[in-house]
Amino acid sequence: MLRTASRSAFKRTLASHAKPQLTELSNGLKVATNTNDQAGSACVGVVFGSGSTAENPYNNGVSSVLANFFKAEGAQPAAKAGVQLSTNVSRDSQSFLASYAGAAGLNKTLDLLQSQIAGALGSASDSAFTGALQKSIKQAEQFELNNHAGRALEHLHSTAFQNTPLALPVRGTVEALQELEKVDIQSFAQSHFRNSNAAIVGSGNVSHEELVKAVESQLSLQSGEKPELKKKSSFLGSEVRLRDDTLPKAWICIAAEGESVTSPNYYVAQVAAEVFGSFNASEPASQIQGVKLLDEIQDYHLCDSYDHFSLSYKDSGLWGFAAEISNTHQIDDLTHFTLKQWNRLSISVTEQEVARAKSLLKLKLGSSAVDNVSIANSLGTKTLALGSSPDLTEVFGKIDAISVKDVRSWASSRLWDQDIAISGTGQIESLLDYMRLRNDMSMMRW
Amino acid sequence: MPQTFTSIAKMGDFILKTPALSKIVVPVAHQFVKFSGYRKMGLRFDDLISEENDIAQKALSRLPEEESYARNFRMIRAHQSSLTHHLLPKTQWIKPEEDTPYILPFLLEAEAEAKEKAELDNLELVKS
Amino acid sequence: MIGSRMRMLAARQYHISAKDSASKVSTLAVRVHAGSRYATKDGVAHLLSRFNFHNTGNKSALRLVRESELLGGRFESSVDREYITLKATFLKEDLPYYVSALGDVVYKTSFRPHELPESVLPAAKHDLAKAQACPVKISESLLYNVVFRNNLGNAVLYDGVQKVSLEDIKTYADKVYTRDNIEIAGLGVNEADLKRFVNDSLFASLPQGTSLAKESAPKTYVGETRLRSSKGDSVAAIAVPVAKADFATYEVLATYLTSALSDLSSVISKVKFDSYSNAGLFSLYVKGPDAKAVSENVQKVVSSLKKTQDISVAKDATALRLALKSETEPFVEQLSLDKVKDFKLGKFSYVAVGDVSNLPFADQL
Repeated sequence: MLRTASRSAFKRTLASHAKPQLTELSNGLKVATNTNDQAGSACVGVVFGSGSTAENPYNNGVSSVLANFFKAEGAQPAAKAGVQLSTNVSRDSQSFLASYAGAAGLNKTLDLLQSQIAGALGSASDSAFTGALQKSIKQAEQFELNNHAGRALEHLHSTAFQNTPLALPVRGTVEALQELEKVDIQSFAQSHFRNSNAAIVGSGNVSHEELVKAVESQLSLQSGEKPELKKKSSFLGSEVRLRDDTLPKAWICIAAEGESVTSPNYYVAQVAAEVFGSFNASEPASQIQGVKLLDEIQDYHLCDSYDHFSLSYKDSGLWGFAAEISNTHQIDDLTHFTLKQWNRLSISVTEQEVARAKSLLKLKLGSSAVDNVSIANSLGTKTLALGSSPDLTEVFGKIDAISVKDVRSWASSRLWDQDIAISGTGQIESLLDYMRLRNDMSMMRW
Repeated sequence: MPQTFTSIAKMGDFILKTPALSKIVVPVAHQFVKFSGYRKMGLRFDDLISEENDIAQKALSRLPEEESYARNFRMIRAHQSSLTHHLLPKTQWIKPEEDTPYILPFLLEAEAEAKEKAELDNLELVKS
Repeated sequence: MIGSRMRMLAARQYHISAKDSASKVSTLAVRVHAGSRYATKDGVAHLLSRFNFHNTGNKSALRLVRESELLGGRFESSVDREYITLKATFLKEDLPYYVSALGDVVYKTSFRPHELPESVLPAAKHDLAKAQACPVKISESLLYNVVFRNNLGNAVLYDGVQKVSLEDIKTYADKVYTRDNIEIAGLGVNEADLKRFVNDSLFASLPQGTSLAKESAPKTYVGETRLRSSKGDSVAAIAVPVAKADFATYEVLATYLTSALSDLSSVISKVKFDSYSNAGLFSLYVKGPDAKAVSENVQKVVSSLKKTQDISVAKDATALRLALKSETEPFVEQLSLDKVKDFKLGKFSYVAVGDVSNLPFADQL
């Protein structure tokens, strides 16, 4: 029904996919590229394998300060040269990237990167650091004030991984940021911005050989041992409630422990999350998705939107969902129906549901790798976490190989009757207590 | 198999298309309508269809405004007649040509939608 | 045989462009000169856009969504002042399915009466509520209205001020969904394949029609308007209509004012340059919770823009911005930035939204 006759003939004309290339330099620095010579621009940059997990409660937020420093200090020379800077801070990594087209050229762009990183390592003025610090504080305050969904998700991490590195918020806390000084920022940069902890990445119209050559002659980072975390992150079933009845809605997150980036079940967990996917009550096409959970949610308008996620980090991960709810008196129904559907992953998830999830996951991964900046960013983080970044064709192959049985056995060991972490903010009076929710993670009979 | 509006409509069409059947059934139907007497209380046949189910509710919600208003009026009038144990004056009886199926098309559409949803919810994947 | 030849000839008249790439995902976009500037009633373009991907003669909306999920694809329809754009993003090998699905939508949407109140209007209402919660968006639509009055100045979103019936939407669809009024573009798509599949789809059955786009530039005006509002921040915004010859200058100016090259970038919250086939609008927004600060900042911005300044330093950055945009967007317009040099602000239109008692009037700038 879905397959047209012309489809097989048509497959042959598809342009082939370029594979990522990787070279390790003698100083331990990795250079990875994902070339696309049809692109009109390129993106190069440095990705470091330490983000907020490398921080501690007293310097929490220093990565975000460094990101702001990079963007603010580099802004003027970059704009003049026709280079666009972007940064990304996550729990396990931070990246400093520069996009350029024609005029700027690779060498000029790398020079710019090098001078910014040298600045972060200590050569920059005090006022530059203060400016970046002020910006980070402002961002953290705005986040606390306005981004309730984001806040719920950060607190989900803080309770699930309490007292371990993954608990720290990516943006840092306002309290910790206010106490930061220039020397804290520098010493963090000096101990983490090392060859052994970095990957140089390139995507778009940049050749691997050229980048390797240019990096060898132009870019130098600190030498030294690769920084290792002293503590491993571990999951603890728990809950945190930030009830605030003055807010107009409720935002909640519930998650069980997920898979780490290196786990063999990394993609199985992603497929399982995609079985429920995302829902947005105000979008007509979203209302008619093939998700059984939606029948119950829509009959009683249980939430405005939800998003199922499988977040993976070096040591651990989170598998669960986040929801935005205006029908705040029926949160108990929402969580009950949702968790009962999670039960189905272990016992009765269907072939069709898994096939749907696999296709949508492929679409998600494929369409997130369109612009050069996100390609470069994921190339860097994957290279650092896994040793090398898998090609999308390989990834699609792995996803295709996942069967209903794989999803069921993954769910039976990771979701069925497992502990959960809960967080919520806004009008969460009807969010049930931990034990009631925990009981929904399994069924007595079915 | 439980009867659906779709199957009833299909059967009706079949009877009307078959001269031998329609010769018998149509007069019987006319007699049934006459004896059941709903027209004398100012009702149309479609007013009698049970509305306590999702399909009928959906169809009702999609009725054009004037149809919906007229339906409510007929029902209230019929209740009043029933309450007072009177039939309507003969001039207000529903004439056969007025007794047309106004909600049936909506019922059929709602039913088709529900059927399609059930089918798509329970697709079987065929490996190719 | 002759029939298929005829269809080939017909399809050749579509504006089809495609750019192949190594990406695993393709984007197919159909844009129709059917945006609010061509609307026969306020909001009809928005409602038609929201009607896209509902039931068609061949397929119900439900079936389209369910099939598309299994293939790995999604749809989106958006409206602006010039275009209604239908967009499908999908795994590369499914191109034929999506060409035919989009063909179905423009040719055979069934416009069932119940879809309007059940699905189209609530979605449209949500779009409107979202836009009205944002003072910058409100200012933008006021600026358009002041500068162009009608045509590009029409309201984009349906607000119910003029009642739009199902019949209005159908008539509008018949008027705009014609062959000469449509452009098709693909990203990560082979051009020959795309042309072939368009031939085989219902796109080939669309009537010829005429393009609604006009060459002559719309009339523009200079004016000012103020809107008291307690929702969100205060905004002071200015706008200048731009002739086609000056597009490059204003693209560069937009980059210049938002980059670190200009001292003003810290006080300007948004700069937008919208270009259309025969006109453009440059708009600049200063926003903040404190209307007095907004007032000071906008005065600073305008007085500095009134002096001639060399903006050619931002050429490279603009070229990069346009190059990045062209990589992710199916429709790309070429623009030569070579001649850009100086800029000086002349006459402009002005809008104040929010705490207007503390915001300046145009003659105070």
